[in-house]
Parts: sequence; C-alpha cells; structure tokens
Amino acid sequence: MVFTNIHLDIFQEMINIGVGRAANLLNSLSGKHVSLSVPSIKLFDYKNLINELESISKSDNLSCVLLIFSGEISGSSCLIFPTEQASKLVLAFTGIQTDDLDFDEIQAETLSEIGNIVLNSLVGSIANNFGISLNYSIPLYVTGNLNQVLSSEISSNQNGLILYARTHFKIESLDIEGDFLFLCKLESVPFIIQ
Amino acid sequence: MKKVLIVDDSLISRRMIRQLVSNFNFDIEEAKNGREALEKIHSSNFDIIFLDLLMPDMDGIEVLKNLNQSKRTEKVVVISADIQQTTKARCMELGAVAFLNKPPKEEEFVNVIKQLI
Amino acid sequence: MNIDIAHFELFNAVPIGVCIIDKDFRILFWNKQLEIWTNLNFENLSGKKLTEVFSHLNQPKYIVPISSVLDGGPPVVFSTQLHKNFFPSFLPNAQPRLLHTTVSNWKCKLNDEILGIISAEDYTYLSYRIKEHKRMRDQALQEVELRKKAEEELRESERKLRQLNATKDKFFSIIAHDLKNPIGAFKNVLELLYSDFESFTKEDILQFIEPLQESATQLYSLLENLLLWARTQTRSLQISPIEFNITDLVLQNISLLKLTADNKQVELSTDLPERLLVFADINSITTVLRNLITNAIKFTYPNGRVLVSVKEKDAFAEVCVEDTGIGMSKDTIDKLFRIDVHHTTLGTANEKGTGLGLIVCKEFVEANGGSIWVESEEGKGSKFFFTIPLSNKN
Repeated sequence: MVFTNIHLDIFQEMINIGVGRAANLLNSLSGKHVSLSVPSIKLFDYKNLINELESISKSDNLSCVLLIFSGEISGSSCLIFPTEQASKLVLAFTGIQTDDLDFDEIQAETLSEIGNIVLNSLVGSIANNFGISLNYSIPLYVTGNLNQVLSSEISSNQNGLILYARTHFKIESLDIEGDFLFLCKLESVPFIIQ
Repeated sequence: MKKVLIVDDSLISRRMIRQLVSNFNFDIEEAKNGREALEKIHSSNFDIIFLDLLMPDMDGIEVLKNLNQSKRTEKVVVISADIQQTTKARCMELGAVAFLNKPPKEEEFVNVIKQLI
Repeated sequence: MNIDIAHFELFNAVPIGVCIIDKDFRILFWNKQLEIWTNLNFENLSGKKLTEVFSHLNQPKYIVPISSVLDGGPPVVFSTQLHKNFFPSFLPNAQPRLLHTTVSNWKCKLNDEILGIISAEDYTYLSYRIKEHKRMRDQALQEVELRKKAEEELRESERKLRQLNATKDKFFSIIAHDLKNPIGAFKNVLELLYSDFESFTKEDILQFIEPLQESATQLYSLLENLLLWARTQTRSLQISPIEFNITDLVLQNISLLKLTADNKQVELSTDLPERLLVFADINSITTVLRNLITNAIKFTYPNGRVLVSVKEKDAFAEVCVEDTGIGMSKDTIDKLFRIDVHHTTLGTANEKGTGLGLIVCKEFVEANGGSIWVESEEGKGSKFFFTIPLSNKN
C-alpha cells in the first residue's frame, strides 16, 4: 500500500472543494465573507498521531466536533480547536462580545453547528469524489485533551490511516485556526488507494 | 489555433480541466501557480486563461490584479472551490469573464467556452 | 407514499419535538411535543410542504443543508444562538423558546425512500441556567474585586497615616529644638541675674537683656506661626470663602510692607489687573501674601526689586511674588514646604526666619483650593506662585 503525491494531490483538491462549500454555507449563515484555507495537509498512521499533532496535543482544553461514518469507508472525522480558538470562532458568528473565554454549553452548541457545517462539507466532498454514500452519526461534541477527545476513535482504529489538514478561518478581523482529521479504519484503506 | 493556459496548483485539477478543454482544438499550456502563470502570460499571447484561486506562491486574485493593472486582454475564467458570492463578485470586479465552481460541470464548462470563441 | 403513520406514533411519547418530512419537504408527521410548543396541530399540517408552512426555511441557510440531508448527506445542526426560530415557538412570557434542532435522514426499509427526521430539543432552561450562573459568578467576582479594592485602600490610608505621624514626630522635635535655644538663653540670664542681682550695674543688666529682646520677638513669631499651623491641622481653622477683589488685597498688603522695603532700600512694585474677583478666605490669603512679600524683601539686597503680579489663568487667579534676591538651589527648593526637614535661611540683612512660614502658606493655599510652587535660580532671584479660585461672577 503506497501513497504517492498523486493521492495527496487528490486529497488536497477534495479538501479544497469541501472547504469552499463550507465557506459558502458559513457565509450565508453569518452574512460575512469567510476566508477558509488549508495551508497544510498530511497523511499518517495512528502511531504518529501525537507527534504529528504537536501543536494541539499538549493542550488540556480542546473542543472537538466529531462525526462518525460507516459504509464503504468507515471511520470518523473531526474538527479540533483549542478552546480559545473555538471561542473566537463562535464569537465571529454570534457577534456577542465577551471577554471571558470560558466555553459554556450554549457556546459549545453553536460550535457544534459551525463544526458540523465544515465537517459535512469536507466529508461530503470526499464521499462525492468516491461516488459513495455513507451512513452518519449525529455530530458529537467532546472536550478534553487530545487523548480524551479521540480515545474511542484511537482504541477502535489502531491500525487505520489519518488524513490531516490544518484549516484556517478568517472572518472579518478574526483569525482562527483549527485541525481537521479524517480517520479511516484500516479495512477502508485499500478502497481509498484504488 | 486558440491558445489557452490552465493555472492550478493541483495536478489532478489541471488534468481534469485539460480533459474538458480537449473537446476543442486548442493549444494548451499549464502553470502551477500565479507566478509561473504571469511569466507565461507576459511572454506569450493566450486567448483564454483558466484560473484557480487558492494557490501557494501567488494566488488567483493576485494574478487578476496584475492582469488588470497591466491592461491585458486575455479572457479569464475563474475555476474555484471558494464558491461564495462575495468571492465571485470580487473576481468579476477584477475583470474575470466567468466564474465556475470546482469541480466544473462539463455542460457548464462547454457553454462558457462556446461563448468565448 | 405508503408508510403507515402509526409507526411514528412512538415519537408522541418522547420529550423532544419530532417532525418527519419526505423528499419533497412534505410533512408526514408532527409529534405532540411540537403541537404543544408551536400551537400547530398535525391535522392541519399533514401533507403540507414544510417550506410553505414556515417560509423562512426557504432561505439558503436552511434549504441548502436540509436538501443535502434529504439527498443522503450527513445530519445538520441548527443551534439556538444562530437560529432563534427554526420552529417558531414562544414561552408564556412571549420570549422565544430556544430549540436546538437536528435534521438527519432515515432510509425506510420498505421502499428505500429517504425521509428527513427533524428533532428539536428545548435548550431554553439550560440557556437560562447558564446565564444565571454567569450572572452570579460575575457578581461574586465583582464583590471580591470590590473587597480587594477596599482592603487595598485601607492599607494605603494606614500607610499614609503612619507616614504622616512620623512626619509630625519629626516636626515636633525640630520645633522643640528651636524653642530650646532661645528659652535656654532666657534661663541662663535669669539665673545669673537672680543669683547675684545686686552686684550688676544698670549698664551690665541692659547688656544682658538686650539680646533677649530679639530672642523674644523670634520666639513670639515662631509660636504665632505654630499656632496658625496647628489650626490648619486640627481643622479648627475657619476657612470662610467670600468674594473679593484680589487686586485690593494685594495693594493693602503692599502699603503695610512699604516701610520695611523702604528701610532696606528695596523697590516694591506691582503689575495688577484693575479688578479680578476671587472666591477665598480673606484672612488666610492675607497671611500668605504677607509671608511671601516679607520673604521677598528679606532675601533681596538693597537696590533690588520685588514685583507682585496677578494674572487670570483658567479658573484661577495666579499671584506671583518675584524678587531679584539671592535665589535658591534645587536642594533648598525641595525642602521649602516640608515639615519634616528643618530649613531656615538668614535674610540679606541677617533677618531670622522661623522655618514655618512657607509651611503655613502651603496649608492655607491648599485649604482655599489652590496650589503653591516656586521657580528659582541661585543668585538670580525667586518667583513664588500661588493660585486661588476665581469667583464665577467675573
């Protein structure tokens, strides 16, 4: 099983298309122009998860929106933000100015919607590209450190493959960074390579 | 024979567009980013440019701005994943003649080219 | 459509709102909870298009994601902060009910048709609880902050009091020292006279008591200033501001001190507006003026000049007493208004000071709402300034 630059190039385009759709939906939701970009994209396996996600793996305070899917490809996808980034993102949509950055359930609920839009666009773009339809869970919202956030995914997908993309949202004067992970189970990998 | 330039950082996208363009009898060239595109545009005469927006090392908006400033007459068709109305409006304002969502649908694409030639 | 609605009746038993639509947005089911929340009955809605019943759902931000779910896409969420009224529903107090709404799809096994399941959870009370919790937390934080500030202020005022006390201790020891020398001289002379009175001639006695006269004058003015100062400190000083023309007061004092200046051959002149009404206590300002002019004469050599001028500046009258006298070093200036440093300089004709005059001036000017300061250069003379509030009748 070998991944070549072509695979990465295809993934990059799928992600770009997904991100473009997400930006469009977020724009119609907020009435503001959204610049979404994906400065880097990587493929790696579970063993390297912690090393590869160095920037967020040390934080104890992550907010994560998770979407589990099954079908021809099984696995999950998630969007992870350090909590202060999540706060900023919610702020960009609600316009509620607050200096306390603690993240309550209502803010989490709003993040779920925003994260859900981005995840759906990204996963939808991937599924479209493969010409498959998948079964999806209701989006979940999880907080904690990286291990807690991904614990169930990690334990059930030890040998899978991870597609990682750093996403960058720019809404008016706010710059927000988050990480998109597409985790698929080992048995789905041959399908993807084909 | 008409000359066209495909500008996209993604190999797969360039191939896809090349395939769509191959229905016509065009002389096709490619560029991997905005900088490379401008070099080719300024040293040769293209009739149509297919331009991606999100590219490393000079994006599509910068290319449009440059063409605008140097008063070039090439017809620019933007093909982008960023499908926001605000993005489209910005491109048209900068002189693009058409805006297609990525991945472009064959019928739409052919219609746009027919109008341009 | 051949799905038996009876299958959906199950959703009448759950505490969330459930609406089921087909691919064309037609309402197939509307559960009891939604009936209660929206006051709309299933009977009236059945078979109608959701987007016709709720026209706001035609907006792209609703229709696009819902359509994608009906096409088999992933579920979508509509949060309460961004969508106040997915299903319009109001509380008894007319506030909108906050419904967290999820749209997902379900493939019917009988005919493979995809249905849209819209479920709404009531987040209103959660939202209220969070707001209330935050309000209470903010209030508690604010109280802690206030208490901290009060403690801080208490500590600060305690520190100031302690410093003030130390300053006064120092002051009294200086005054005691100043009193000791002249009174010591009295004591010695009296003892001498008393022990052997008969042996002294009238001339001897005259010689003994002559310097005592100067000491007595000095002591008297020291005590006088001390008393004035004490009044400012015990707040028994009566500051009764009235409206008066500052020019008149300056002229009165000039005429009283004219003789002193003439005796020392110092020219005393003025630069005054015709009329400038101030609002201040006339007695204390008289003391200040007299002190400053006397000082100016004292530290000016014969043939020098003393100029008293008054100017209007913002809401104040600025009085300046300027001399061509000996001037002061910066070091001296720093000590002038301090009670914890003893400072007195002999006049150009060896006139003695009490070291208290300027301290009293400062207290008086400040009690009248003004300020006092000095500009001086050694050998070139000094300028003493003070301000007093203008009357608003100018």
